[in-house]
Amino acid sequence: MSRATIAADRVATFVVAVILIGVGVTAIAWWLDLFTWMPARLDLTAALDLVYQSWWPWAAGVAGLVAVLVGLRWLIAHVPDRGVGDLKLAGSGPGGKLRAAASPVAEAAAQVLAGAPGVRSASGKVLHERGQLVARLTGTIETGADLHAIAQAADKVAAELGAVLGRNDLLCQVQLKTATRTRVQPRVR
Amino acid sequence: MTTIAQPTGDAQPGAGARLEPLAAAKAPVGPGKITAVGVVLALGLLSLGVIALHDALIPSGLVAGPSWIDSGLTTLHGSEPAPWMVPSGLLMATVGVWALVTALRPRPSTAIALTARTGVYLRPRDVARIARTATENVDGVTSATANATRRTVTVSVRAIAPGQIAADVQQAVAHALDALAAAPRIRVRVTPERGPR
Repeated sequence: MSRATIAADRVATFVVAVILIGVGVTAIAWWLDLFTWMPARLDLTAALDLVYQSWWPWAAGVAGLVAVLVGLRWLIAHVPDRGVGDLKLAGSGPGGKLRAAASPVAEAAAQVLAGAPGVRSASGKVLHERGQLVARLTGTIETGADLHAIAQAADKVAAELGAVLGRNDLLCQVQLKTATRTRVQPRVR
Repeated sequence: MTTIAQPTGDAQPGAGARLEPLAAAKAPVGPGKITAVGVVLALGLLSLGVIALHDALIPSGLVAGPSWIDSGLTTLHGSEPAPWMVPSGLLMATVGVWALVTALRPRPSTAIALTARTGVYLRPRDVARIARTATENVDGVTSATANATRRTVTVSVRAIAPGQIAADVQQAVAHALDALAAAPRIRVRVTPERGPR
């Protein structure tokens, strides 16, 4: 998720929280008759008058369309990131651009990691996350694996990935998970 | 004596040059409750938009029926204080306070770093599984369960002869997890295995 989506979630939640607290406290105060300035009845005449204005359907239409579009965009922003497309490589200049499809390169690096002892499988992609360009490798390891060896293999793969893509702003994150079931070894009678 | 010429150009993978791994990205964080709340609010905004569009299309005849906004306002118009407002108000305020805390709380850190030059991480539940496997391989342990937080690993074992088991388990778990960047606190609980009746 991008930083903008997280910020939007936080700001919207904050605003809704303040509204909920305000309405809740006002409702209790109204019933307890704590403030003399509170009306005896809720008067929504002004709001009802607006609904009968000739321009109301247009205003509601525009506001509704904006709300639907913003809501959809906001919802889609929560879909897990599928990764960036092409990355511009070092050496690009006025004479021409060097580009590489980023995620297939990360996927190839993941396959190298998957070949390390104790790693059952791995996948990789390059994505923008929290303001960083991240090569994320996800590996499933055996529960009895040698973590030192896996960390070394991850370092080696991260070094090769850096050399292939040659981007100074690219960072790496290797997320390891253990296999939930022990792999059944072939039996020898 | 034979010498092998090393490439003088840019370092290539496998060319014999020692390459520097990519620097570590920010440690992974869990989605947290704020993500779920964000999805609910996005759906809420979408619903408000649909209500407004519905009402906007009534004059054109494309949509039949009464205006939803008008109906809602008419229902609320003229309301008077009622006893149900106390529990409802309390509920709204409570949900509001919870949402306020959720909005401000950082997302949960779910990562336990390994000692590596790039960023390599495990989740607490994986550390627990590794600790359990290491424990199960200790002589005398009949069964084991493990839980882990970011700083503490707790292993519960059943053992035939509990005497030395706790120290052996402690050592085995510490060895299995010695690649973690910060050594966790390891707690071992031993329950004697009941013999055959």
